[in-house]
Amino acid sequence: MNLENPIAFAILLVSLIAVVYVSWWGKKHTSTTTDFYVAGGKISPRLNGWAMFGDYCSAASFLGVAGAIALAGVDSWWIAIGFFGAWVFVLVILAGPLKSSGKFTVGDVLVGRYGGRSLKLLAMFTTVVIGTLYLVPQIVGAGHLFELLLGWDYMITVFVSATVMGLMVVLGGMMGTTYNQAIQGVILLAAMLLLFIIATLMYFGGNPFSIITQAMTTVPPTEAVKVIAQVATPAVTEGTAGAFALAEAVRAGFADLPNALTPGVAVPDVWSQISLVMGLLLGVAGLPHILIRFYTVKDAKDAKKGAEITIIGLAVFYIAVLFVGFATMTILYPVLIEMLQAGQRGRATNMAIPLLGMQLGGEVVLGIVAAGAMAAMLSTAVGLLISMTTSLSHDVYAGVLRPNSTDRERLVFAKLGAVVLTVIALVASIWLKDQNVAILVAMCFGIAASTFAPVLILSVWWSGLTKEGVVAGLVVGLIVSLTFTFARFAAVPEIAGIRVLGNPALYGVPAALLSIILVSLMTKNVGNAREFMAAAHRD
Amino acid sequence: MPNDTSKNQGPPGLEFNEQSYKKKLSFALTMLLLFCVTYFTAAVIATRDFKHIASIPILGLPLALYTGVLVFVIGLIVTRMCLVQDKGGKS
Repeated sequence: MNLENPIAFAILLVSLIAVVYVSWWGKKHTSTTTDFYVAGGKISPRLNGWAMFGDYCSAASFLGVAGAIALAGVDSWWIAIGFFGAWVFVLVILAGPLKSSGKFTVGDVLVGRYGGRSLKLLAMFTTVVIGTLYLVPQIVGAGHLFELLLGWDYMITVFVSATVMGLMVVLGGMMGTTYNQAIQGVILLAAMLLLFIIATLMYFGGNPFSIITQAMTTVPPTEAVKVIAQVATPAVTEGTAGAFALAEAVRAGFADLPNALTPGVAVPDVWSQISLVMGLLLGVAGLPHILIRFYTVKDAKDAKKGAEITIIGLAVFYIAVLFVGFATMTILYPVLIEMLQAGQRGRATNMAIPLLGMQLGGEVVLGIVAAGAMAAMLSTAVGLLISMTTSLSHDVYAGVLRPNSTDRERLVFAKLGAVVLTVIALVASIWLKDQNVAILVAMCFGIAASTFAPVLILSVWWSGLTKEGVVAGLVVGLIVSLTFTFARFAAVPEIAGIRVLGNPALYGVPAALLSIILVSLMTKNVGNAREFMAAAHRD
Repeated sequence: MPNDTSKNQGPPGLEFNEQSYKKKLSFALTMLLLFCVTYFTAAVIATRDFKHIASIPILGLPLALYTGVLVFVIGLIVTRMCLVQDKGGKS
């Protein structure tokens, strides 16, 4: 174990102990399955809003986006804009009707309208596929981050990370998880704002717009590295002014190169971009660990109030990310270029923010940043585990296998499910150690956007939707999105003359929608459409 | 213990109000259209194919930066409008 950064490690350890304590405290408030699944529906909108913020902001938001902006400039901000836009979409079209028409899981919404076990099983299967695939990159990310930060072996870090994630769910259920996610949401936002404020004060004379001005004269490291061999390296100068010397030397030698605010440098062509932003926009509407949070509050209005708090938090966070990304680029310019020259683009992206923390405030700020990163991964992973175990226990055990089981038996099954799913994800994380975390996350967004999202939206808004249409949409969306995702993994350029894009949403979403609409028009089982619509859209 | 596997239908006597539903649908689609037009326009002009539009300078900064910020602004406005609509209890 590396203790070269004992203060940073102590901060990380304290935050870890606090997380486990809150989970243990939550156990006292978890006696029934309703408590375990959705905290008895007693969570306040404000607490739920912060919990959704913590649940949603994973390592990709905290480390990935700012790191990508630091390397490639403003184009990388589009991922953050997509993450934000998805919540506006969910609020407008889904939050209220979903809360009013469901009880514990997204499967409830479908069964509430059509009944039957087949839909519950299909919904559970899709939930577990998306949840497990989403859980793996959280554990892989945690493993790599702490391997780099503390020098621990990857096998130890993934084991510790997965154990803490599973323990939080088994100990606390939704009540402990909610408080943990809310606290972690506050830590995440505070850590990002702290970096923004310290960087502005130390390097930009206290004026945030100086960060933009400096970025406008800086060649992004991904472009600068192509010409760096022709640049005379300036003499090392002391103080904050010296940090910009290399950037100024690159600019002086290559006036025609783009700057950090030049658009169209790092974004793909128009169809790839549409596919990406479509996947991001619709993805959240199909992510079970996010949707389950709407069931933890009293009614549809509280669900929307919570979503508003999340949206405001995300807006502040992702705008701060842009400034922190630009500040990181200019402050760590020589370091980032050195990493790119060494072929360590992935490491540079993931480590840019922790390195900035170390640069700005030594071990203390590094510890806060590490705690923020851990908060991001833990809260997302625990949210995923809760949604999957709820679906397994409620949809399969209580809904299909043992409808007459007691509350205690369902609770034990849910906790056993959490242990089993954690072990599966842990094994997959060891197997997928070298996979790109961002690709795994994007894959989950694309699959969610092509399966649950169209089905749920049409379920609560279209009375003509039939049970067969729902099944067709889920199956076709799953097949198309998985096919194009794995084709990308295998570097297959096209399938039957159709180009494979970075995100499967451009094909998966229309295929699912078309299947749903065509099959619904040809079949008649619309379920109890009027009663369901009355419940979903009650005033 | 309540049977959590029962269908989740509305409370007894809850009637489907088609007029209210249509108003809600119309409001949701209007909000969605407003947001999606901003979102996809900003996304498309930021691509290599349309970067000549995104690069147009306004007060020294490229248009793409303003359209990106505009997505956040429109998103927050749409969010507030949805909540205000709810406070009335009706759509």
